Amino acid sequence: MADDDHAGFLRSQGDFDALFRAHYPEIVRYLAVRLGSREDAADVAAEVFVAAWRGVPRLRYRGRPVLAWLYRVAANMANDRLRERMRQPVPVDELRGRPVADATEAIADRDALERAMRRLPADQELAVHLRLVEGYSFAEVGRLMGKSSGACQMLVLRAGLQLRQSLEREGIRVSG
Amino acid sequence: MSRADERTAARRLAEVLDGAAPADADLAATARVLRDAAAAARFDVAAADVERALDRARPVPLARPPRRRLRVAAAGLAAAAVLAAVILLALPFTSGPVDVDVQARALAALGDGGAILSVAEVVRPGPGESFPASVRTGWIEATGGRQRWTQSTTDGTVIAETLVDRGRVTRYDPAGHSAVVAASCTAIASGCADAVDPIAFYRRALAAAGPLRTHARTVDGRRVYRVSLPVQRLGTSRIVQVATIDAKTLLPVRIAWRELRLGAPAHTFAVIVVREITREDATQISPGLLDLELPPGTRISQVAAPGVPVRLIGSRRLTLAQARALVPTPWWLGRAYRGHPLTRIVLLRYTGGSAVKVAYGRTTVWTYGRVIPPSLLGSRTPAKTIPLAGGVGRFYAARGGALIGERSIPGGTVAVSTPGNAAAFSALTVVRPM
Repeated sequence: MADDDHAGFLRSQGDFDALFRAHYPEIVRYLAVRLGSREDAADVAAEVFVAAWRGVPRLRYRGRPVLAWLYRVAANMANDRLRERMRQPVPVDELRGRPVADATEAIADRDALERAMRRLPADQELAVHLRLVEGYSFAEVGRLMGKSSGACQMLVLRAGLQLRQSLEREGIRVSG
Repeated sequence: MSRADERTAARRLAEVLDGAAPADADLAATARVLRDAAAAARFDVAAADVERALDRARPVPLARPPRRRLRVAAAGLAAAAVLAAVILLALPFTSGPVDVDVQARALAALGDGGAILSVAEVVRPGPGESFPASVRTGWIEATGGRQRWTQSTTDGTVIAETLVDRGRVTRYDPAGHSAVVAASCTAIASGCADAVDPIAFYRRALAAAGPLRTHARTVDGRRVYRVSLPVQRLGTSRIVQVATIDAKTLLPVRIAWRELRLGAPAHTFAVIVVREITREDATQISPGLLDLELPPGTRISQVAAPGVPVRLIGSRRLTLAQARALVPTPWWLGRAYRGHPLTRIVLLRYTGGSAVKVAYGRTTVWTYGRVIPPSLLGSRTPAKTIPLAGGVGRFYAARGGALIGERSIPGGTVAVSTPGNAAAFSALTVVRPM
């Protein structure tokens, strides 16, 4: 993480373009899972940077990189967007019931997995994203999330168990 | 599991995720599901997309105006406010490039609950699409509850007649002299997408859009408004209707179905040219207009919408000889298709029925009767109905993103799932009984 120390933190506070280029892709990936749509993710990610940028001058270095702040803003904005969606009427065809996963179909499995990911609690989802999608070490995940690395390992374990349960409920057997 | 045990399991899982060998199958399964989930969530954002997003998002530096200029700025603002008021007052009398809100007026032009719309439209392929143009004429209740459509080739041959009556669907195929009657759109793989008119989508998208500010422009000598209406999200893409609305009647004259995909140019896959759209009073139209009378002798298949989700009970690989012995005979594309050999034939048993799946690389042929395999269930992306030798092909996108072409066959339906539009069309023209 480029902005991991105090000097890096200050650099990030002063250079919007560098901050955007360094972290926009991972914020888009994180939001894509939360929102279930890459287009929405791209829209919201841009808003995240603008909103975060407004707050950045007031940020004080407390040992956590600016990226941690970006993830927090992204999580809040994703929640706002999801709440907004909940208020919108659901088109009739979406009330017909979900397609049932067919264990022989990779596409259905992938859909079921994506749905299961969206059902994870936000902190578990973030831990999985940081460790497994972005490839940060558990120590780095801990710094970004403001938790111990052990606590982050617990989040990932619980996420894994919950994902398995969700898939098994849809009739998809998971083997090692 | 005690807290201590959970901590131990979490640490072991962390080690497995870091590359250590899993101690047991359970841990390996948890690690695998996490890796699969991560793989599904991992994608690259192209540098060009980052730059484009950055250009849009980059904050504009706010220069503080010198104090002495404030008065000038205030005067400017006041003048702008007066100008805006003048423009607003003059709006109804001008056709200049002034943005106006067209949403409410365009919606009102379609009529209220008591109106019936008579529509005639030509459905043309977008650039790069392979399906032939067709003509649709029909009647739609303004509320969208009941629709009656006739689809023809451009030379006037009727290829499909469809009635949607508050969800219940009757689809008549004159070439096969057969009809499918379904208790609801759920019972039809394409989810009635081919029966739903773009005007109905347009109405719904308009209603959901809120204020749409745009200005009139002249296209082919006609004053029109052009608006983009989001219709549907489909996986990583977004479907929008770009509607061209007559500035005088506020009725649509052209609707382009467009797919927007992150990092790719917009793709227009169909254009609907509205030849005629008129509003009729529901009490004044002939009562039979919104009915579909099937000719005597029509073979009718009744498809019940399943009240419970269809579940896979079991599956079994079949040899070619075993598959050929099934009744009705499954359909296929031969021993190889486009260089891909037939890799497997599987009989899938679901609650309520069965299906046979024949796989060739990324192309799969399904033969099914009463139960639609869940992976073939369609989204509401508009389907295309195209005449084929001996019947009609219907093409739609499945919810998983695959392109499906389907046609009715004696005793059921054959569907071909392919990676692309043109591939679905050509596969459906050569699919045949085993």
